[in-house]
Amino acid sequence: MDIRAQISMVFHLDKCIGCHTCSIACKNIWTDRKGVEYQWWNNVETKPGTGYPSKWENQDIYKGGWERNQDGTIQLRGAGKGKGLGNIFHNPYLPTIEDYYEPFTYNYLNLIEAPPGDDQPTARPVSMITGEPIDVKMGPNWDDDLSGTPDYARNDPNMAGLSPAERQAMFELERLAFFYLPRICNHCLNPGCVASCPSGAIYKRGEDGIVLINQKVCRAWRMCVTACPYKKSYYNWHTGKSEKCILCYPRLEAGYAPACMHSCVGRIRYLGVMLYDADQIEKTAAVPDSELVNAQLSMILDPFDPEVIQAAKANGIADSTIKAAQNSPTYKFVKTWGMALPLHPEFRTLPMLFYVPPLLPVMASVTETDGAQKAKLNPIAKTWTDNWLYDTSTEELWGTVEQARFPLKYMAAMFTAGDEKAMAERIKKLMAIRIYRRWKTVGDVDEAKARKVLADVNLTELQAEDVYYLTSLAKFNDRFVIPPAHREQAHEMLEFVGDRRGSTGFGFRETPARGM
Amino acid sequence: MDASNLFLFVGLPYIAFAIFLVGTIYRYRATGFKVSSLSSQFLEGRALFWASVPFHFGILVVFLGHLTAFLIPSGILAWNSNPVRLLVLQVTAFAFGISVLVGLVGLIYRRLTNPRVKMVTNNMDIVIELMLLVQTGAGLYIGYAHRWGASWFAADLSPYLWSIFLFRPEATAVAAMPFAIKLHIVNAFLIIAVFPFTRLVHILVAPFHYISRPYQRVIWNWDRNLVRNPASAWTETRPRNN
Amino acid sequence: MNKTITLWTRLLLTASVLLSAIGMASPAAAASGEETFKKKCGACHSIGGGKLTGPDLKGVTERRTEAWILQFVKSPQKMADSGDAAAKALLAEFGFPMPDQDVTDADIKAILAYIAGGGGGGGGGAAAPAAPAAPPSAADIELGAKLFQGLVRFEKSGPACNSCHHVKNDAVIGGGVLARELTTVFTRMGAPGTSAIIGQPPFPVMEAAYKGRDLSPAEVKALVAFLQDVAAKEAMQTPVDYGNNLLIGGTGLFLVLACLYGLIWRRRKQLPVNHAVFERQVKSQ
Repeated sequence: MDIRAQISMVFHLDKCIGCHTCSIACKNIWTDRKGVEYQWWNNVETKPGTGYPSKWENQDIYKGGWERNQDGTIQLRGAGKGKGLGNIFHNPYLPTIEDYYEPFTYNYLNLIEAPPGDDQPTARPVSMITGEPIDVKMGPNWDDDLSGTPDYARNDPNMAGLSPAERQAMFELERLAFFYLPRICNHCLNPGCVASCPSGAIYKRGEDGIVLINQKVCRAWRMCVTACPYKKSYYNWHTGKSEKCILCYPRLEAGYAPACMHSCVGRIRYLGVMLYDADQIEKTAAVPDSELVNAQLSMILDPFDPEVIQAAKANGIADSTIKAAQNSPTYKFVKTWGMALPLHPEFRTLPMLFYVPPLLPVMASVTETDGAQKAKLNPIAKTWTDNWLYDTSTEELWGTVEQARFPLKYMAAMFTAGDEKAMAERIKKLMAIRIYRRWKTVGDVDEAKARKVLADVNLTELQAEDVYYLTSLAKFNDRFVIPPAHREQAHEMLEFVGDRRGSTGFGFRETPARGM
Repeated sequence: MDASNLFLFVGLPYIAFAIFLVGTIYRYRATGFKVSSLSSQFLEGRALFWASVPFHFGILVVFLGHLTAFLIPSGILAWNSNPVRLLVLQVTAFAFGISVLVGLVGLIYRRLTNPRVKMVTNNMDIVIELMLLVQTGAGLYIGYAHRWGASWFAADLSPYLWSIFLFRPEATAVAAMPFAIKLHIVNAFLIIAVFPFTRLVHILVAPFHYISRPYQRVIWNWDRNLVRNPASAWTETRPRNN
Repeated sequence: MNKTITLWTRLLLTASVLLSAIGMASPAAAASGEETFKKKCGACHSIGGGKLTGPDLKGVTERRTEAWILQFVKSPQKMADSGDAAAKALLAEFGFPMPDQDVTDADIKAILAYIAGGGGGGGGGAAAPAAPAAPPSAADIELGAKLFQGLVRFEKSGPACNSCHHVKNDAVIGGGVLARELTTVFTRMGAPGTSAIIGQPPFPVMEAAYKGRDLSPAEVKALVAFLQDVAAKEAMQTPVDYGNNLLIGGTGLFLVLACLYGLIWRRRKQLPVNHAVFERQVKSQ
């Protein structure tokens, strides 16, 4: 057993309001330099939608992640030793600037400095690459809130498994729904970017599992961009180096939450340490699709288990880190309560950013009611005068899960590699806690029912209260349990904490010009 | 041999290799951050395919051909002793030479016309591309007009290059060669001299070590086995990254 | 700043070391006149032995001034070009210019002293076989042809003649064009001149190529036989023009290569994923 500590994240999608504050916080700190204007280490997507870069989930186009061979081994889909070196002169699957968007600003000065004329002066969009006026064709959240649905939402790669009727149903005006998906680097346990880097510039920090790119070793072979199935490794066209989310490690080392998490308005983000068994990485990444989620969860070890603690100590993990693992909110969401799921586990990188799936768009449904149906309804159901019904509760407790506005198949394609049962389980837990709290606070659900739903999803009352607390009331220190960085142990950390605005965020400062 | 030949074929090679050596070390140590292949595929990928791929594979084969003839001239001569094999070698080399030329012209055209690529172009990029163009043009002309270069390179130029590397320069034969060949040789040394100051440095960091490396890389900031040992709470080992 | 200075100092040091190495490696002091004559001149010139490929040099110091000789030996063609009457006359008489010689003034003076001293009398250092009175044997011609194009390697594995030389002959693959075309060399130079040059090449490029790999008398004989045969049959040969075939062949193979590139990477991503969407958008310009 080779126990290591990993900083992991949980994003509670039910709470995300899609305000992009996280993206802006990140942009202001790290990516406001030349060459990285287009990079959004943190971005928020609308689902259904094609995301950023467009259709990143479609690995037939981008060839990211690992694929499982017949013999049960795994290999990188579009990179690796053979393919990476063979494609080094021209990476055939590299997303280009158009797949993200051409960064632009506006010629604001024209508004106040334009000479007198017949027309109202305008601020034309100007490319931040060439400086020439451009037609803006794309932005980092171009399909926000389902805009451009025919082009974007309807082409969501996650709908590949849906029947035409199911797809049609998703876009009926009355049933139309969407949710937000904020994304940062997953700091995977089996990262494709690390494995694909021919220079060996990308590495995982042993102490906390943060995946970083050493800017001085990166030689722009561009394989990480292809190999990362989440497209979270970006190419800086100005310096000729790849860059990616660094999980604000200078902040983490100082005990602060990463900027995106710190600034999150909806408080959807949780960060904590998890202990896992590194010996099992290879085996876990190679299990069949249907077992992926469970296999990954079983790699994560119980920080209260004396055996685990002993093995962790033997492996040099500090007491403070073990303590942080025991208090970790992410461990609770992922393991104790079994509510959070990795995004696209079928990419086999073992991502360590987990999502609590959204309940609301799934559960609520709008149906046309007839009198008979209405009579059966719980009095709490809200009805409109024109007989349309926005329903969040029915007689049949779990009925709405099956008839959800978002087909379970769609959600399962995102979070469980197609396992609808595992998906339904998480959603039922969310519903159960909601019903339980409804009984507690509003009181229009009867106690027997509330207790029954909890029992159905294997949650105790105490756990339900804990989930409620961590979801709704949690304070800063509950959401972010950051272990001390033990800088006293590491020269690197002692020397390079002074990252400043404008630096690349990797502990050194050098004019980032191309060539000589 | 007159002074100009002495300079071009004896002095220049040593100056070129000296600049190459010192320049490369200086460049790597002083501005290591800028040692990169500086790919612009991200900004323009479609035309690049028909430029970068023919250029790189062409120049790889052509360079290895020159290298082989330099290292084992007798092997090349033995191969060429059969006229059919000689023909095959020459035509293949010529084809890859055209591949280089086509790719290079494509690269230059793309660099000069694509507005985005123009933004990431510096003067040295143009200089080195033009030098390579001269080199390729001269090389192809030699292949066409002074045929069976595979044989006479092994017979005459390989000994000349060896004489340079062994510090016993013997350039009489080279000085008596036709202009195109002299141009090819002199331009080659010039390219070697400017090499450290161009994007060509990416050749020196070609990732061959990737082949023998395990896929995943984990770097520890400190020795985790010593961390818990009170006798060695502090490690003097500098981390390898950054 | 300090770092830069040290680096430049180091650069200068390295350069000076290298340059001094070159200095030391420069050709050593002039060899004796006899030695140089045998090595450099003997292939074409005799001293009192009659006209070979080039004129008999006996008494040359009386016919020409030393200054003229010094200039001529180093670059005969240039002299003829510059309009020197004597050089022109020589060129007309022998039909081809003497190759430029890489010798120093001291070398030439030593040679002249050797010539003035009577010299060795006879022809060059090469064991020139007696001029064959009869046509050469078929076996020699065949061996010569094979040696010429390399099918039979030289004993000391020197490069085949056709690396640089072309002859108009159907029996062999077209030769190189780096050096002189040899179809009629036998007619011009005769057996002694030809074999002398083959045996001990006076041309710098050829000399370098066969340095330490000189041909055996038997090989020389076969080659001379072959060249004699070539010269005799010249009118009846229609060789292939390789130059353009090379060009066409190379281009053809490149096209195959290009197809291969396209085929190997046929699944490459060529367009932005939203290309259709972009194309539909109205452009403002």
